[in-house]
Amino acid sequence: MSFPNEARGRLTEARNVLIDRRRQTNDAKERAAIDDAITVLNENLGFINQAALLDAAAAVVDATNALEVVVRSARLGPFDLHVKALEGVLEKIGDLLRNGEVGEHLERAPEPVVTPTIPAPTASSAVSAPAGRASAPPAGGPTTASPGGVSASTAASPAGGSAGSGTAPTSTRPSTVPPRNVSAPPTTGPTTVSPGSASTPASAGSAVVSPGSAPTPTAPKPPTIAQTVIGGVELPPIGTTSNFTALQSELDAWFKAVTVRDDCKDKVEWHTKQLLKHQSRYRGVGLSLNRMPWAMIGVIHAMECGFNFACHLHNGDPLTNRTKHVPAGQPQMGTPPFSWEKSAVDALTQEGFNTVTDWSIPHMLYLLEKYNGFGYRKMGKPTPYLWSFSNLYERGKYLADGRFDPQTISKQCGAAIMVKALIDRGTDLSS
Amino acid sequence: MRFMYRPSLFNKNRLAWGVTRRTYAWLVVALLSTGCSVAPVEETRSFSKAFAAVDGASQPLLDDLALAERRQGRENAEIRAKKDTYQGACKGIIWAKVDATSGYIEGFCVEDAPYFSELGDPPATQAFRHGVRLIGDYSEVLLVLAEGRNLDEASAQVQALGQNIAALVSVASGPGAAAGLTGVLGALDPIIRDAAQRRNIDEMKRLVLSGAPLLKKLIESLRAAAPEVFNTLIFQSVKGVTSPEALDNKTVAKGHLDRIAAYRAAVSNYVMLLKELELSFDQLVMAFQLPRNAVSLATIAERSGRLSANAEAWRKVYSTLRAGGSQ
Repeated sequence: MSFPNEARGRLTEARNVLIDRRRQTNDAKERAAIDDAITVLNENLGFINQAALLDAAAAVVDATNALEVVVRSARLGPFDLHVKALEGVLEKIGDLLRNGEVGEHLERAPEPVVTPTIPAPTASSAVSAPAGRASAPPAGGPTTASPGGVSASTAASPAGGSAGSGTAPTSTRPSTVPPRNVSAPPTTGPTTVSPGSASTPASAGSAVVSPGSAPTPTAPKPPTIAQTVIGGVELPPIGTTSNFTALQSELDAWFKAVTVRDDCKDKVEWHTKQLLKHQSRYRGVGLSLNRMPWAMIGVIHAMECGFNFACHLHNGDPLTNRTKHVPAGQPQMGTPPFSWEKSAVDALTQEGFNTVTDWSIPHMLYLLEKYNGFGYRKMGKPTPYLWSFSNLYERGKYLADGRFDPQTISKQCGAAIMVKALIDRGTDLSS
Repeated sequence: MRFMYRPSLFNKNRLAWGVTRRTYAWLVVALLSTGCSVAPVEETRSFSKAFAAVDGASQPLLDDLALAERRQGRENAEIRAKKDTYQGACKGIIWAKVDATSGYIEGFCVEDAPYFSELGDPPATQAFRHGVRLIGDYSEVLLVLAEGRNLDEASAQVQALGQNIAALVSVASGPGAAAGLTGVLGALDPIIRDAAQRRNIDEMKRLVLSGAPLLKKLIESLRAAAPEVFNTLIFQSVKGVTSPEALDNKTVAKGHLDRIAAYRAAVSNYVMLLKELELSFDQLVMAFQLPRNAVSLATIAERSGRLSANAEAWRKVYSTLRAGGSQ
């Protein structure tokens, strides 16, 4: 017999005795005393009932919990396990396929370097193009000397160069640094001179100068056009300067006109999803860089690393070592392997992004283009780094050996397209 | 059938991409490599019906139990305060008199909160209700699998997966190949559904055999709790029938006695329905252990009819209880 039952039994026996006695007596005081005693017995009974009920409930809880494990393990989706495994495989394959495109990693576009007073080079003085970002001029305007040991005297502009010549520009070209082995002339280059812009004489030996400076016989500007039609859209011409003030309205107008090509919409969508998926990591880096917009970091990550968090933002080299390609030996501080965040902060700080306060769209695009290099401008071509996958880009890209191939089509989604896609989704780009 | 479909899958659609081909082959093999048996639909339905009877019996009983348990908890709290017998964190909480017959508990004992709260069930009732509900979940899961109610969803899941594969194929081999694959997926639908049902049976078997001892233990614990459920339900009537008014007036006592008798019948029915539930589950277990025959099917039919009768009897008992007045 259980304790509660035994206790209840004893209490009931006692109560029965009291009830019998109560029936036998007419003494009011005794009956009242018996009533009180019965009340006390019932109170005790109440305590026993409560405790016994809770004990019984505890046993039910134990049994319920045990069965619950089995019930919750039920797979109502007959193929859940296989489908989940397959979906994981498919996602990886999809990533690999798309990474094959984003991982194309656009090569640096060598950019114009001003050589205002240097005589025009000869064909034999052609030099290798410097790495685009390594030669990036300050935001305020073009540099006046080419880095990487390339002297101004050897710099030459591809403008006017013969197609596929692979030779240095002739003396008729402006003296800017050309890409290595330029294979095609800028046949689609500027044809008209834009009003107010510095014109470029046809004479040789001229140098590119920043807007606003007077053209000199030794530094003429290449011709620019008042309007250009690209992808059926009338747009400001592609400026040949690397000065933001001069490019601001152009970038603004191009960004407003840009649309995603129909055949690239799913790829752009995928890029956008990747950006949003990793938004918190980008934002974390942005917050440590004076609130640099996370979208800017994400777009650079897409362009340089194909969303791979195992590579340096400097150039896509693996995080397990310092960078081997240009810029080599980065990050200089710390010991490999580096965290992606640490490397990213290093790369972006070196670019001065932590000091930037203007995060308007044109300036973001300007900085992105600068990150890759302004060389496409010298070709009179829209840079795929910004405009690939859009109505504003058709073909033409710098190859790994620094050569510009006008026929090669970039398979990488342009940075401006990603920014536009995020804005179209109503995404806040700031950190 | 596997070989009948292989050529149309792998040649017609010109899947040049080896990874996709292997992936798809894996899918097809996975779908077809399942055991072969028949779902014990009747046994599962019988179990489900038995549960419905228990559920129908237990819910009003548990509603009454919630009231009784809460009232008992409040009364015990008052007695502890009046006698200064609180222990632990509540020690020192006593009864504050306002006059000779009224007062209040001076202080707040957190352990008593479930009895004074108006939210949800008090603890024991909550445990019983959760236990019963879980048996319902278990029964429902088994019924979904047995009746194949999940087949549409499973088929859609595989079709969606196929669309994903097609999308990848289109990247690798062009849109033509993807279109062909989508067509083949449609033709595969009956096979997918058949494979899904066979997987359902496998899953049922796993759930039934692994859950059997646990379900029996739960049913047993619910049955073992029945005396305490009964004692709690009748406690107010016990106090009533032993009150001076009832001891001096048989008419007053009769109302309480009737109520005790009704609760005894109700709890007894509940216990018997739990027994029926256990028996019907035993039959479901046997369906996976032994080949089914005409005798077992006849037993199922007979039990099914009895469950319907039991449920009706239960409704009559409880309506009597309700007519006897509330506590």
